[in-house]
Amino acid sequence: MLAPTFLTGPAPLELALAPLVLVITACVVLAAALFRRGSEEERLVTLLVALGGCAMAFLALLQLLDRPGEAFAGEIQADNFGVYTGLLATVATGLVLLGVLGHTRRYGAGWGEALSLMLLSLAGILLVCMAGGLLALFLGIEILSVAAYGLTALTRRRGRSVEGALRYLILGAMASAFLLMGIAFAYGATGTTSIAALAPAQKLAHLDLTALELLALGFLLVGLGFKIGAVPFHTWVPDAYEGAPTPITGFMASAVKVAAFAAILRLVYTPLGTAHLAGLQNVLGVLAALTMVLGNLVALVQTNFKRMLAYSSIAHTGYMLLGVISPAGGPGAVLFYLAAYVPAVIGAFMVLVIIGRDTEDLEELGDLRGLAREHPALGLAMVVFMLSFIGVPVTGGFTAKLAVFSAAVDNGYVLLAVLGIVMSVVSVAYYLNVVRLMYIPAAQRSWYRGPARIGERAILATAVVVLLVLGLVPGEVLEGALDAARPLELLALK
Amino acid sequence: MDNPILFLTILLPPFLGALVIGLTGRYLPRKLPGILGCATVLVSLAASIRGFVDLHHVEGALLEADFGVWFAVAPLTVRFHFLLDPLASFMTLVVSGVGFLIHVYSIGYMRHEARDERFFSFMNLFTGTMLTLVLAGNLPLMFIGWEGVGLCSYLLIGYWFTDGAKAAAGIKAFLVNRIGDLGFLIGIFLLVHAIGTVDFQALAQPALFESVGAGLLCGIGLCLFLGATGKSAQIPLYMWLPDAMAGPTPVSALIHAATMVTAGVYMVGRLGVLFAASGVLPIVAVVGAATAFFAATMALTERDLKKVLAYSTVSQLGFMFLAMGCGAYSAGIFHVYTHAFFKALLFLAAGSVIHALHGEQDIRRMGGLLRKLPVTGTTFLIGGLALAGLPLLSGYLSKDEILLAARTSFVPLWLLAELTALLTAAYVGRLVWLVFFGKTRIEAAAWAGVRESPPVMTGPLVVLAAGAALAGYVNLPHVVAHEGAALLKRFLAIAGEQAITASAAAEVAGLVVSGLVCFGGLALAYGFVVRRRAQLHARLARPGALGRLHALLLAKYFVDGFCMRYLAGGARKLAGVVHFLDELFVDAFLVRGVFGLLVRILGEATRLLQAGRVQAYGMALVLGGAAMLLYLLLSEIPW
Repeated sequence: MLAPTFLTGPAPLELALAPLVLVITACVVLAAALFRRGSEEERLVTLLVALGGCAMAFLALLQLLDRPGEAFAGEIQADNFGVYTGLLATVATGLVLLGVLGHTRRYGAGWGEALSLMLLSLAGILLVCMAGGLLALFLGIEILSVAAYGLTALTRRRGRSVEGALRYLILGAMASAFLLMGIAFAYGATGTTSIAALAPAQKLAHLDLTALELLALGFLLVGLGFKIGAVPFHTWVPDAYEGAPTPITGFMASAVKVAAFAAILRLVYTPLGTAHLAGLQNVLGVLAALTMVLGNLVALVQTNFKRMLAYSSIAHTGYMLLGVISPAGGPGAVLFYLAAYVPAVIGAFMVLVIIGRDTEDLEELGDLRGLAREHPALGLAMVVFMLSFIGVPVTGGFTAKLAVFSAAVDNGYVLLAVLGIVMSVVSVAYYLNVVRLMYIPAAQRSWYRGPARIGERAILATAVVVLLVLGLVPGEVLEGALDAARPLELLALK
Repeated sequence: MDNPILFLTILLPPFLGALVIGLTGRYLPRKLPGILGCATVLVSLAASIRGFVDLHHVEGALLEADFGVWFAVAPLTVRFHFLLDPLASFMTLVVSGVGFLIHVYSIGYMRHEARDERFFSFMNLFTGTMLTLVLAGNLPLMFIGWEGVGLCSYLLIGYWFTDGAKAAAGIKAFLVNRIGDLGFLIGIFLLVHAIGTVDFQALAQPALFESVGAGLLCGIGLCLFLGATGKSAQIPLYMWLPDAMAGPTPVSALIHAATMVTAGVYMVGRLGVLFAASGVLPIVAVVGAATAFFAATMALTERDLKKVLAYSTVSQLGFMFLAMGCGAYSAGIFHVYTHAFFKALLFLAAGSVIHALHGEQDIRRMGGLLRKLPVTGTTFLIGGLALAGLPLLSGYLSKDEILLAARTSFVPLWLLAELTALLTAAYVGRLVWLVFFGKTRIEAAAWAGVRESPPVMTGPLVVLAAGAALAGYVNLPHVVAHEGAALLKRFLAIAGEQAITASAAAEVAGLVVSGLVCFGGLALAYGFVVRRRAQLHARLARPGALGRLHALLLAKYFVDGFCMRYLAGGARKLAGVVHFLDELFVDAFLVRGVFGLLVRILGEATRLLQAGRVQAYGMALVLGGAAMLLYLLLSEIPW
């Protein structure tokens, strides 16, 4: 007799169900777009199909909560860490899709392609989050990246879009080369591609593989450092963020970032990584410092809102890197940080999407002038997002920064934590500048008229409520994040 | 025993009411906000009664509810944990019971306002936060309620915020309370540092404090007590309460007499074991007795009807702290309870007088009102006599217990307390006479228009008057009731309470002395205010010791002037210096100078780089990667 699945653990197909569903949905959407490219109603239907795909992927992932398992020769695994990050990325994608609900006319060209690319990208993201082996990890990263290149170039008629996408593609290819090189070295040093089994070889008198191991880790970190957007591998971020249509930027800044951090956490906290933890911590610590300083200082002088948020996203990568290098409590803090960062960044980009509804994409800081006077609710939501970016108490950003910085202090990185706090203070200048602009009177009113649409309201309200909940009553979520990341920590503290 | 439903039915209705009334009140029919506000508090009251009844059937007399983790910072985990023990249950009854009556009264009092939804929304919010404070199972949760009631107090004192003086009174209350709240917070932090727990149930274990240093423990007690002095208007933080009378009178009754200001007393009772272990109880007693005395002297000469009551509240709170300081926690809580009745009654009746006189508050322009306002006058008289400690009324019984506790612990404090009781009876006599008796000093035209308030206002007065007369009989002295004595004390069973032993003769003597003191005070008032008023005024006008004393009292010991001149003035000077430094050094030199230059250089440099070509980007990637690899290799491989 077959035992119930909850006793035996998930079946192989169950583990891969979420990415599979997404790939199938993507194919359906693409096929529909191929044969019928036309009316707004049809676009709306394809969007709802895409949203349905996201919802199914979400449910499929939810099934795996607290039911660890692995399949496909260990290449795919379900643990709570992977499930949580996957859920977060799926929700982020769903929110972005919900946000373009009212914009079928505006993003008309390439509508079906955009949706299917986003779904494919999400499939890649889920593969990264749940990767049990280096091959699945690489596969996932390539799927998500290739889709992201296409998404960035979506508005072909805009020069900046194509330019940004091309740069992204060239640099991304280089990063992939680094990553692949790292995987090759890792296989050479350890004889396995399973992440969990990635361990230093027994040292023999005539054979010392330490150099090979270090090369493997180094190459892997360069490749992943590119994906998270850490200085000096960040150069693609501003161009790609600025070039992509605004909803896509929101997607890249949220879901893609989640995947990148899931990957880097998984690789640092392998037996191989923890064997050389001191070296990795030094390297990543320097990257964190550079990233925080450069991201925040350059954000100060930006005049384009999307570029400003691009540099701000680089700065947040820096804060999160502090968590990555802090074995005791750090990985869980990073998970929580992502959960608090995602709603704020999607919300901020969505405000931009909403106000440009009747025209084209508005993206200059000046476009926000007087916004809060005309649309108080939008303005208030934006204020909450900015405060959360700064890390003001009662918003999720505060709890997240508190968790990451206190983890850093607990692990002895007092100076880095102080630098992070100082840089957060610096960041107040450009975040509050947005608030200031919104509340001063303005003559021009190029943004949209009429009431906000239901999907837009839903997103902004959800983001604001989530941020306030994470700020006021973070207890359960924080504990969940820390629990999910505990296996990683145990590996390092052993 | 877990009973989350009970806690939700007590706590949620006022919060929901505040939300609904606040958001939709503008669109509701004229009277609905008030009715809704009363209804939610009534639900809370019913649930509180249910909890009180249930408590008798539960083992350990404890109901609790846990709504998950609030935050966890190792080693401290703070949960949304509420508990209902006899002490909390008793307080919820007082808060929701008296609160309900005051809400009903407010419907009548606020009916001349164009819009009252803001008022009822805040009042409901206050009730909700006060119940949170009372039911909290740990200090941080209590602090939420503590800050919440402070916020509501501020909002309601400045209810008529277009009047600058009233808005300023709100700010003053808020600022003075901040000092106390800071002490409270530091106390919590020290407690976490010293003991690592903030749960009330854990803090009721005396063994917990044995391993903590005496100095640290004393510091914790002092900081927490500073918090209590802020909220409960004790020396040195009492100045805000008289000004707080700028709010609508029901607010004064609910927040600044019956409930919020007793939060400090409640906190000391909650942490009874801690306070007993910390050794600060003598300080609590001395501060309480001193506040009681000074506030009573100031009440003697005050001319504003509500402010006399305000000083009297400060004074009575002093009595409560005196009881707490003597370790007689149940006596303090007993006085909280009787005081809630008679002081709420006095304020509401005063409100009724002010309402009838269209805003007149100066008692020199009143008199003879008993004829015009029979219900208000009679109930005010009952409340006043309860406050003065007329034998057999509630105030007499509760004050007598405090005096007994003071006598058995420290005789000088007892003497001061008896003197204060004498002054209390004297200023009550003066107040009642000047407002309700004698020939009226109101102009004839106005006099003709004076009308008794509507039943929605007088109804609560009558109920409260019954309470003010009879509420004391739940806690009779041993010598009178034998087996049935001290019901309340036995019910409350507050942890850390110190037993007070007195012989039957001593108890009888105390009761007799209290009665005599009350009559003595009333006689003094009769002698000076009624019989020899002209002579008294003549004496005061002449230069001499009595005149100077009178001037000193009228100026309230020049405390406000001192604060404005030296504290506020000093702060302003400091602010000037800081402002100068900020402008010159931080803004001009650091921000615009050094740092600004740095940012600009860096920004421009990056802009140049970023504007650039993909080759440069690729180079950065490769060089950065190479540097990383080189470092990793060099750090671990011996070359």
